[in-house]
Amino acid sequence: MQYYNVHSHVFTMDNAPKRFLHMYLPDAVANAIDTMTNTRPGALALAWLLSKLPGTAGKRYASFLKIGKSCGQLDVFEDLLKQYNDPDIKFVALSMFMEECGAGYSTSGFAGQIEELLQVKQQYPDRLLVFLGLDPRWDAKGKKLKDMVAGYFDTKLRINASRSVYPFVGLKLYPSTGFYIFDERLKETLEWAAENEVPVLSHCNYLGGIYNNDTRHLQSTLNFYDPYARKMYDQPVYQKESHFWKKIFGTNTANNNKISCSYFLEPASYKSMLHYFKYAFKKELKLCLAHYGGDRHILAAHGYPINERTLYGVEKKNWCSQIQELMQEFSNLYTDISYAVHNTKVHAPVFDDLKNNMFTNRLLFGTDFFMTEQEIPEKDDYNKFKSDALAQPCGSGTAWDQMAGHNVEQFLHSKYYPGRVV
Amino acid sequence: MNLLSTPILSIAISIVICWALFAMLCSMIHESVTRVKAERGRFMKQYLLQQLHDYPNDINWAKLLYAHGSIDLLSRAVNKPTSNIPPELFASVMIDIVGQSQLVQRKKDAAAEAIRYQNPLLHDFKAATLVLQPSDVMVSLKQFMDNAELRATVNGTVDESKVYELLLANIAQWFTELTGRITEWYQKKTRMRLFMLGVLIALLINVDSIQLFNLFSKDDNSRGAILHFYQQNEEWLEKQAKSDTAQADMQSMMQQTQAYENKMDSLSQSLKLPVGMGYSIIKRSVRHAMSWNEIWTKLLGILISGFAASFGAPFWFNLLKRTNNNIPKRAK
Repeated sequence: MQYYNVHSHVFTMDNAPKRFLHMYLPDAVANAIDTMTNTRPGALALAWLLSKLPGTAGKRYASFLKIGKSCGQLDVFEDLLKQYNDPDIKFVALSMFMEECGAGYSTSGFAGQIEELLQVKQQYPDRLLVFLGLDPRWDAKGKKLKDMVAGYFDTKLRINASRSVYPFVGLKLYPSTGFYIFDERLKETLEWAAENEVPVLSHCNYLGGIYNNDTRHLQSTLNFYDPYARKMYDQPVYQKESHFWKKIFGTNTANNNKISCSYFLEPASYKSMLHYFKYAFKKELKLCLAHYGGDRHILAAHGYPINERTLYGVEKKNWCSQIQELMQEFSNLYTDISYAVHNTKVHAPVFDDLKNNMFTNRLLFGTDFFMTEQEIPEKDDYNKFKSDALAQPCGSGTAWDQMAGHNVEQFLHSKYYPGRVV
Repeated sequence: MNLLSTPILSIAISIVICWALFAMLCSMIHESVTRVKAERGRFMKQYLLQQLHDYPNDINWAKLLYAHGSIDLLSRAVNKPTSNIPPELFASVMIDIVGQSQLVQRKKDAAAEAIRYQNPLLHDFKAATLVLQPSDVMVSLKQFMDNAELRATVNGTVDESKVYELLLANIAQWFTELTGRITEWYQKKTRMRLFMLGVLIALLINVDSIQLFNLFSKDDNSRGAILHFYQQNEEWLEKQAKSDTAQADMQSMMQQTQAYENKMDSLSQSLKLPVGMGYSIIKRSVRHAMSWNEIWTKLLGILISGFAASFGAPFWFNLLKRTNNNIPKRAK
């Protein structure tokens, strides 16, 4: 059986916004750290320090630092390959459009990130499956955007004189960088994806991830029109909280932006769009809400005592439960356990869910490499889950066969990836 | 009249010789550190990343250039990029990455009718100049292509191999000019570094220009000894100052350092200069014997030495050479 990791990243600091660190720290500190981390020892020292601090933002930056400021995507991918003892496992690498998250432009440019990633694909055409990062804020919108995306997918990548392959197998969305999934500019492209059975993977981790740092943009776009439901929401508004220490360190705005951006990710915000595809478009969109809401929400949904102070969102409801409810209604909705998988406590509840016929075919294995590197080395993350999953019977095979094999292949299957690279 | 017998001139020349030797020491240390850190390569990469960032097309060609196998193989390690990209290689890789980019492959059909080339490399590169958004980089590349086509057209017929050859030459020439600017910028950065390094070393081993001036102005023997040392080793010192440390391998750098050390040993035997760790201001015994006035004077002397080091050894050796050429033979 062919196995997959459906959620990994190989982008580098050069693909991230130049002022990425300024999202989390005061300018002077960010500049000092930026200079310090130009050397490998400096970067590793800071990565260690950040990994010891509470909160996820520092850890996320630490992951970037550990990967390194000066290496390329090929180096990151080869580092990922080395950590797996299965020489045939395939990896979905999710490209990310981060040019519009209010932290400046990246060194490579987004098109540059894609070109570099395709250079890696040329070297590993059978191991690397690329998802194209999609964003409604690109210059092209509506039909133009759809044509552009279709052009990306249909222009084959030349591997050698006798072989060419489709470069992309799916689309990646990251709404917390500043847009709703129901953004009208995406509608035609998503319709194209549904027609062609192209899988779409969207970030869906409660309060976790990269968010938009441009307060003005957030304040002006948060109340938005939903073309699928044909209504203008009166909620949410820009979320504000005041933290004493965050005010002192000048990061209170960043905290507020993070909370506000979380609304873009809330599973409930996908409902009108999914509803449209099922009942009006008559072809369901193949969508994966990544991370299953996050490890804390998975545990809370399964009765583990989790101390959650405030529950942000329109629904004010556990995100894992929200995803499960949507999965019950929409048969092409998937979820993956990436990032959450590092927390070994979630393995048991996930295997429990796998026994539920409603979810058996739609729970996917992924790790979120390299974001998890500060929590646990990829090798350990993969080995631990694999050994737990192999011990769990599921149908005629094991949970591993189901989640890392059958389910992912079913999710990825389209003309661009019919189970083998063409 | 013997110019070297003029005290002020001989004092100045003695000081300049000391500065040249000191600048040489600082340059050697600086070069060793930058070599270990592969800083020249990193500086060059940084500059190219800045210059080849094509914002209208949302792509950084330098990033792809460094990821290209031909360039990647020249680098020591991921974080130690090469500082020596031959212009012809740069040109051929640029033609390859621009033409082969998915960005161009995706759109090239739109320009197919306007392109007559059989050679796929030329065809795709020409397509890139037609379908990509105009940007600083693309405008330059388009200009090189147009220029090559114009020069390779005879009686309305375009010689493809000639176009490619001229295109390569045009891009290579552009890269040579770019690297010229990089060298200029790097020298500016190096000058500041040499100043700081010079001050630090001068502080450690007491290279105090004011003290040296006083010594040479009072002691004819010291002056004579250092002038004699220079005349004896003139050729070697100039050769060392001229040698391109950036191109030298590690072994020749070690040999250079060893030779420098030997020469300094022989100089210290013939001349008692107040230089070395024993005279360092950092040493408590030295510091205790000094008044505040003397400390300030010493710091000023050290700053002057640092400033002298920032000019680099070649500058001082050239100055000496010019002075030497202007002194009549008889005077020498």
